[in-house]
Amino acid sequence: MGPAGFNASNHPYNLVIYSGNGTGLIPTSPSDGGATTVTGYVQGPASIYADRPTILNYACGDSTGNNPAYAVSGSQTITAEALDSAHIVPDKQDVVSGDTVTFTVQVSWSNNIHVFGAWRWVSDTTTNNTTWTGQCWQSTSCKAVVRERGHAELDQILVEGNITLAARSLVIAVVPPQLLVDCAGSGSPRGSTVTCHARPYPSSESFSVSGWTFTSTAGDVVTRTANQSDSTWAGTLVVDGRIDVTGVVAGQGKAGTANVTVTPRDWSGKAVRSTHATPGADVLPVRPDSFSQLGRTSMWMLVRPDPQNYAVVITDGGPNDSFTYMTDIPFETFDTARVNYPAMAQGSDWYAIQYAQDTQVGGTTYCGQGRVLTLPPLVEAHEGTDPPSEPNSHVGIYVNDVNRLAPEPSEALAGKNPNPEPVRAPIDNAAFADSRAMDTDSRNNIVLPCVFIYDYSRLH
Amino acid sequence: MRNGLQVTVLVSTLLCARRAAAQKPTSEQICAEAIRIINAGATDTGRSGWLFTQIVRCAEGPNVIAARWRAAHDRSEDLKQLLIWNQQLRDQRIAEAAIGVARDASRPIPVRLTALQALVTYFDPSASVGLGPGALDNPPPTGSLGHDADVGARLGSEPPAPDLPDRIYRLNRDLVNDATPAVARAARYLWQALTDARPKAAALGPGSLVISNVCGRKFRVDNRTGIDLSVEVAWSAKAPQRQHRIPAGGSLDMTLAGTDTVRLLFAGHELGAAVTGSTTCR
Repeated sequence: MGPAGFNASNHPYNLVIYSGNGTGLIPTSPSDGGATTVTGYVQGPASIYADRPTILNYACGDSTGNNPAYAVSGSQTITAEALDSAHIVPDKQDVVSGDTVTFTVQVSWSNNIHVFGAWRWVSDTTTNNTTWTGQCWQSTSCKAVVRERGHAELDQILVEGNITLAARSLVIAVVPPQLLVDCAGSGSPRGSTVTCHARPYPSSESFSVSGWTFTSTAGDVVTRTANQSDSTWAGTLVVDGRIDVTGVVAGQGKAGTANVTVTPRDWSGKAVRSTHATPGADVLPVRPDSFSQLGRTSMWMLVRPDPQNYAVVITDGGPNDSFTYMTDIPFETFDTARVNYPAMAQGSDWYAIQYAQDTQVGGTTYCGQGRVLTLPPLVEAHEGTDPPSEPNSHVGIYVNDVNRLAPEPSEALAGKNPNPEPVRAPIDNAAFADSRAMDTDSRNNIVLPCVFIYDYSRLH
Repeated sequence: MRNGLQVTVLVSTLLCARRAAAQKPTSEQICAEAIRIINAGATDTGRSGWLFTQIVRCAEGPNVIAARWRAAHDRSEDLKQLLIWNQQLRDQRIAEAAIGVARDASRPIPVRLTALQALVTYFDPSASVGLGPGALDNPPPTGSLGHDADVGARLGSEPPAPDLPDRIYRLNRDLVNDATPAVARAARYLWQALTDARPKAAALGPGSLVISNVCGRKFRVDNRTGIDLSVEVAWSAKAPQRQHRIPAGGSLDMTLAGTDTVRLLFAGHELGAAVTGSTTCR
């Protein structure tokens, strides 16, 4: 806008800012080039004008325009900014009927505020029972006992001495008081800590807690027995369920609830403890009466007798207090792979009753004695004397099946006195059925083109 | 284990084919000789040992073996032979003999224990508590039955009767009170294992399992039997059925949600029910 005027009496050539309606004369712009910014306020809507109404003689030279008396330089910046209106800000927006709300006039760009108007309550309902309380006259803050949905209004708010504004608050909602529960840690792996906080809604309401309970999806109920009035209940969580809290909010008895869940831990890498025995022939008959008596495998799946090493009873006073959960697979397998070596030895009675070579009699091919001697490694692999290298043996199939089937349901064994037997039995039976099925399916490693003789009268 | 071309070999035919010129005994003669030797109390040694295997093919085999059960002594070779026959032949007469031996307090303890062991295979042919003698000498307090693969006993002319498993179950349950501690211990172990394997066989008597209300929604299940029992507790169509293990002579308290009547079931049969108590739990 060019230079400031002269710093002389009546400020010749200075810049004057004024609003279009003439009511808001902006303070005279400073003549001093080093002056700070000056600010003026105009009530809108208005247009802003700038002018240099004071003439300085000879400033532009003589009548011919030559020989000006002064040479000036410099610049000024004029900024016009639309300012926000006044606001009425409540200290809470959701209230219980009868709550006191404090409303405060706020103008973001000025603290020079004077209230000349009257505070008014505008109801959004058919009732209008909200009342103002305390000293509101000419006050920038006022309290109301709110009893229905509505908002506050105020006019004649004088700002900076010449701006008169009106304002209205946000809507104040009247809600029923509630007791809410938030649980951090829900959805974490089984055995993690869950922390539940009780809080009132609206949050500004007074509240107290009188009790906590946890109800598992299986129906077990855990009642908090210590520090029942704490607003926080935390502890190890091992089963899904529901947290219930009771208490008083805004003078009313209330109950809150929250569902909590656990996620399974990854137990895919866990193995069932296994004991393997190879007692040779044990008491298999040295004179087998059928091919099945060349070997026999016994398989057991038992509940481990050392619960202190695989189960934990929770004693933290939390939602799952007294519940048990597993830290390892609670089962173990025992297997015994017997191989009837004496029967399959050269010179045994069974060896002796076979034909010398493979022999066809009628429509049947009988195995020769040489085949007897080839049987031990086949029977070993069939029964499973070295299960890791014999996955299709009776032992290998059984143990691998148990290892495949046991981790997931074992991991989920949790709650009040969880019973492992309903988990154990189906796994045991399924693994054994699979193991036994091998005898008649493609996994069977013993397929001979002939049959053996079991008639010991041939020794006679 | 099963040979792909498994067949039963006929005795006399092969004898004729192989030793046509020799004087060969008939199968009747072989069986008569086997019966004579075994009835004489011989053991499977020497040249006649093969007759101990051959006896299972004889018509009189089950009677002979049953007789050996009744006359068995506390000799490891006798008991071992009885268990080997148990692998090879299953017949009602043998089972009856073993039941009688197990119940007979005058018989040697190892013989009675071996009888109980053998009878497990009549409860379930693939069930196992061990193969050799002595498997029940020191049974664990609790345990489950094992499984045996490659079982292939032939059936005698009197196959096991359908009610035999139930009789064996009752035998073990009864023998829990046997005056001989070793027998009672073994019977208790088997009673437990057989119950877990086949709960429906238990046929629990009145008052064996009792559910009662303690207060409010707190309930108690009492197990008044001598074995641990897996029970189901149901009380609401919306709540999953619960399963619990109640220790022998013990009880379990549980606080349950809801207001429904709580039902106690064992092996799918309802044994009792309890309603919410009128007094509040403190």
